[in-house]
Amino acid sequence: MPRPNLISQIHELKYELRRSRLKVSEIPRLQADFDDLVQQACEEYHCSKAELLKAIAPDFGKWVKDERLPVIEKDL
Amino acid sequence: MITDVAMDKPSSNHWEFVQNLLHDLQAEEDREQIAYLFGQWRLSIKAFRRVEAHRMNLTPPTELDVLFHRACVTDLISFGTLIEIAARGHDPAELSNHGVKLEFVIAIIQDLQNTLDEWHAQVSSAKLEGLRDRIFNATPELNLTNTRA
Repeated sequence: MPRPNLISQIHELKYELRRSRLKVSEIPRLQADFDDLVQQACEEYHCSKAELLKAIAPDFGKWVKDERLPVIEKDL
Repeated sequence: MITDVAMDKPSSNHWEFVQNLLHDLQAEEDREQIAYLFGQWRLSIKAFRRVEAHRMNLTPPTELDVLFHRACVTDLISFGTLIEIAARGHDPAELSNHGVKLEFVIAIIQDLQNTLDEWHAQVSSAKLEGLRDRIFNATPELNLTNTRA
């Protein structure tokens, strides 16, 4: 199944937010960017934020595999 | 069922425990305690994210996974909100000296709220199915990447 670029970008920001080595000072900017992209997707697909987030949540794990990214850093 | 007697109690009685907790958190000498709790909260979130990655993202979650996930994420939101309330009672500059900024706390709570929506928002199956179809079966003129098998 095709994945729109906008959804990939949302996944990418979510992945950034999940990095365990993420500095706390980076979180507000990443969170704001994430919300901006989600808002953009909501307008494109005419849905609420909760609906959009729930619709794409199961695709996040597939995206991580597609991008061959580590599931999570092992520095915890 | 809530009885009339229970409903007649002043709300201050109901909130006494929480108010005492917040009073402790807001005490001037407890800025370090807020920083400590903030650190513990972040560590708990990291642990939560690690389990979430394995149980919710790598494979389809079981019914029990979904229940545990909801219990954990709502607890983390609740704890973070108490930290936010406590932080609002302190001078931002002094709190910042201990590594805690209100904007950090708010952003992390928002991230957790998004996670709650991702897995537990009340959306009908029909609506979800229709939306997923529109997103992932889009027409070729849309900008598409990462074709999945």
